[in-house]
Amino acid sequence: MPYFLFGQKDTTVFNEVIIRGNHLKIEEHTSLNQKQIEQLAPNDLGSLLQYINGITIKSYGGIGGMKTLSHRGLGGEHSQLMIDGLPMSDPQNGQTNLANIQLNNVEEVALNQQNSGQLVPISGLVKGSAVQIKTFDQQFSPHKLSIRSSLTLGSFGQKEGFLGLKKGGKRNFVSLAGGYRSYDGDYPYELKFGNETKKVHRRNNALDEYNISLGAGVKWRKRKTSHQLKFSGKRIAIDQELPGAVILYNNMAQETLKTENTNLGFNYSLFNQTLAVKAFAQYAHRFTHYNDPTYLNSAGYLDNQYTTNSFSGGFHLRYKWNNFTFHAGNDFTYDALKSTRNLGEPSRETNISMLKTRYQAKYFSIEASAFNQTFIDQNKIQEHRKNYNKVHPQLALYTSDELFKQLQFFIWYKPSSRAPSFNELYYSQLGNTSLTPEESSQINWGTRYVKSFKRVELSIQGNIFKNLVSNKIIALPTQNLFVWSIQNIGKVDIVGGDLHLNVNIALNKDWALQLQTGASYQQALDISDENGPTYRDQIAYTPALTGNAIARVRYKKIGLNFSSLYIGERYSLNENIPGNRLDPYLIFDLSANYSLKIRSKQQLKLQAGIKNLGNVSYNFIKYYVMPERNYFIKLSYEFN
Amino acid sequence: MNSIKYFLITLLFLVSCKKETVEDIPMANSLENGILVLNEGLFQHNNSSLSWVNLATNEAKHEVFLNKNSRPLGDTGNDMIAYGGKIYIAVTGSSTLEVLDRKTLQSIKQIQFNYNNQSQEPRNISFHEGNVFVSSFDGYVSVIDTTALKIQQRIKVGRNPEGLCIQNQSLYVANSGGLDFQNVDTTVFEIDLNSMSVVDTFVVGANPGDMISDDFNNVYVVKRGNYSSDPSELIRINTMDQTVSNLGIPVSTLSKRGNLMYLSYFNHNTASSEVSIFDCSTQSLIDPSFIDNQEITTLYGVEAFKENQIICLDAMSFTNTGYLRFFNQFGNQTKSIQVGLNPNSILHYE
Repeated sequence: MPYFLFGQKDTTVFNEVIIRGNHLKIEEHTSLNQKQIEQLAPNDLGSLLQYINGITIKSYGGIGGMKTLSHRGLGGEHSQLMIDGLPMSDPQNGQTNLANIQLNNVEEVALNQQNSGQLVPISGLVKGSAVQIKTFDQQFSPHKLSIRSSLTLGSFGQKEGFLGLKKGGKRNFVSLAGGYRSYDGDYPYELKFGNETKKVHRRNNALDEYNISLGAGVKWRKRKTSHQLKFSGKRIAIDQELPGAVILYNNMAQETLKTENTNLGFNYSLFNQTLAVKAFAQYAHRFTHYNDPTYLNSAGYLDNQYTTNSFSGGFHLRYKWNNFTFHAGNDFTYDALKSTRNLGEPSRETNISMLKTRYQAKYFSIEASAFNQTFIDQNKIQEHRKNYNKVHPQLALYTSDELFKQLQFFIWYKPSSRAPSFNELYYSQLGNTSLTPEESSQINWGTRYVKSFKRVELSIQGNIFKNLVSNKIIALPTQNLFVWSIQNIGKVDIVGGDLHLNVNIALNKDWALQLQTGASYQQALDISDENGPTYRDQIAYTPALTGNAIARVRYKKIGLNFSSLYIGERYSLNENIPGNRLDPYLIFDLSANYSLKIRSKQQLKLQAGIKNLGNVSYNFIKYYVMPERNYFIKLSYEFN
Repeated sequence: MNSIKYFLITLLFLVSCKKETVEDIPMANSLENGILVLNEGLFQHNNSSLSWVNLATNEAKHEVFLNKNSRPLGDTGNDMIAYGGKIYIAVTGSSTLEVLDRKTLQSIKQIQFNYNNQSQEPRNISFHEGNVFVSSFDGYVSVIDTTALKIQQRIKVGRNPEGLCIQNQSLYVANSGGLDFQNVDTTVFEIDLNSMSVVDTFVVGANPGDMISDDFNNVYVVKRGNYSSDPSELIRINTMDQTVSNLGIPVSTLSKRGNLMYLSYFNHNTASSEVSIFDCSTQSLIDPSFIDNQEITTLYGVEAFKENQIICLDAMSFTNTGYLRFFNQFGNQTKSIQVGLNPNSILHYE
């Protein structure tokens, strides 16, 4: 594929930073910064993302419980997770388990719906949305030595420790971080039967986890071009019990799961007055080992092991010429799965390329791009899927602040395909090698208003969206309840809107107030079969209404944090009948912290909090009960 | 602080949404002129239930078990029989056998099917001379005394037994081996009811399931095959000369009225549902396609009803509320009544 080459000079210097929320012409993204993450004290990335508008987290339990993401009615496969500029994916399941991503070293989490300028990997641009994470381990730092450390103790046997060290400097850094956590997970929950309530305890829910990461970076400048090279190595090992769904009268689950993930990656970037380039290369190794010692087959147990090896690499370049900006890029991934199950030995080559042009006029900017998605599947032993190739155009239009000061309007269109996962294609008895990729498209109209007063900063964002999912991959029982099959039969029509408000008030030297709140509405209707019983019913596990609020009051060294989360009613199956309905819930968390500066370089912080203050018994997924009221205390120490 | 206050007020306003009240029509105390339906529910959803169909009004009352017992039936109710004054329900996922009073539907006993701290997962039920027999996925048939309501004995059989039936003084058990996906079982065991021990083995084909016996010393088994190249077919065991024959008739479930056997068959490749009628006295298929089934989405079973009608159980793709579809002696549909999720067994109250 040919890429644009330009020789012209340009006067603009690109500043490669993630542009933050309080000025115009920014990316369409919502983010949570380190302060907000600390304040929410989430157990994992899944719990945190619930506070980003438009994201619904399908949560299968407290600490360790699987958490997957759905953004504006699109499944988790339509979202790309990127950690420090490296795309993460799981070709076996198609979705990343967000419960396996810790936040002790995370400095920012952002959701990008439409990305106009950033040099992120192309795979993050073609998908419906992208979640980007920035960690302490991978940032250049002017400080000679930085330390981040924390100890957390919480209810139900939660113990967590983290230590991160970074040696910084003008031109390089080296970092080492590691963490450990364990959890007993034996929390109580209530089950309501008609008018009666039964109190039970969760069991087989313990977890042990180790993670370690290594980072290094160097930057240099030659004439007017600056270069950066970063290395990142991460390993996480989780050993956990799986409690499964609560099964009435049968509390005997003994399943376990071991997970070991290793990632090695390089990031390179180049900037000068005319050109900006980012490139990455990555190797990922994932191992999972599932065991059920009570399975009633002839062996008397079920024991499955899966190993996935992935190589990926890509680049994204940007060139500016007068009022035009040109982008070109390509991402390539090779994934191969080996398992003790009868899945064959599937592998996949994924290639995504992009060409994009942006034109900046006085009153508006317009952006047009073309993405080409290719999936080439192989399976050494079994029959495999046909190759797939599709070109998707994307379009976006933004007003500039010349047109309206402090106010911006934008509209964008974004179609995308997601390949069927290895499980969907090859899982014994139910896999279907004739599956085609699932297609999604999004149209978004949005507006943003940002205003700074003397002591108040205000920003309001609103969006209306219309999405469509076709060829939706759905697993359904066929012959009987034990024989399922996976088919491309779904079609979902999604219409919704969201509203997001952010206020910062600095009253005086001692008092400050920060408030962030959002509400989101999505009607995601099943339009697969006009004559089916679920035609125009809200699809399963997609609440129409969700809302969240985070408030923080600071008085001198004391901070008081409050957060709440509302998840509206949803259905466990596509049929919207009372028997499938799950109650809405409203959860409040409250915490307080005291920060102590020791000289100018050190900070000691003590935080204590209550989660699920109202002691609500709730579950997002039917019978995957969540913890009731619980407590935590966290001591952290920072050195810069 | 005002903004927080107003925000909270707004939020509270948002969440103080309507409480849904489920309509609760009181049920008559004496159950008559109706049909009790066991809805299997979906695996891991704990939503197995009983529905009561009033034949005078053609209305269905849902969640009858919950209303009568203030607790749910549990996960995956797989089989229901009536014997004496009691009803027995095998609840696979919850690993229980529910024993109900036939008249009041109140639970008399919930028998736990656990052994060595492991769920046994009961599947099917049969009865004979004061005993109820329950097959369970752990490879046993449990013998339950109907007065003591206790497991008296566990008889070791093959892998993942399912269908059961009585012929003469023997209990026949279909060993499915269904949990060994690539290597299913193929046998039917004969248990002598005097010695309560396995006395014979018949090889019938892959993954045997539903079973029924006739008045001519035959036992019929559904050999489910592998759902693709090896089709689901009717197998006959002649218990006199101990021969096994594949009758070559496509079938999923079996039921009987007198000498006529009703066979339901759902072909998931073509999504077609058929009911055929087999005459046990002449050993002939008298109708390979009895019903005009335009409305049936997923045929999950067939039951004889009154003198000459049949009821087809429609599982509606397994994820939507199911129906009882009534057919007359000519195979024409006369009515449909919506019940619960995946209806699999019915009991008729005169």
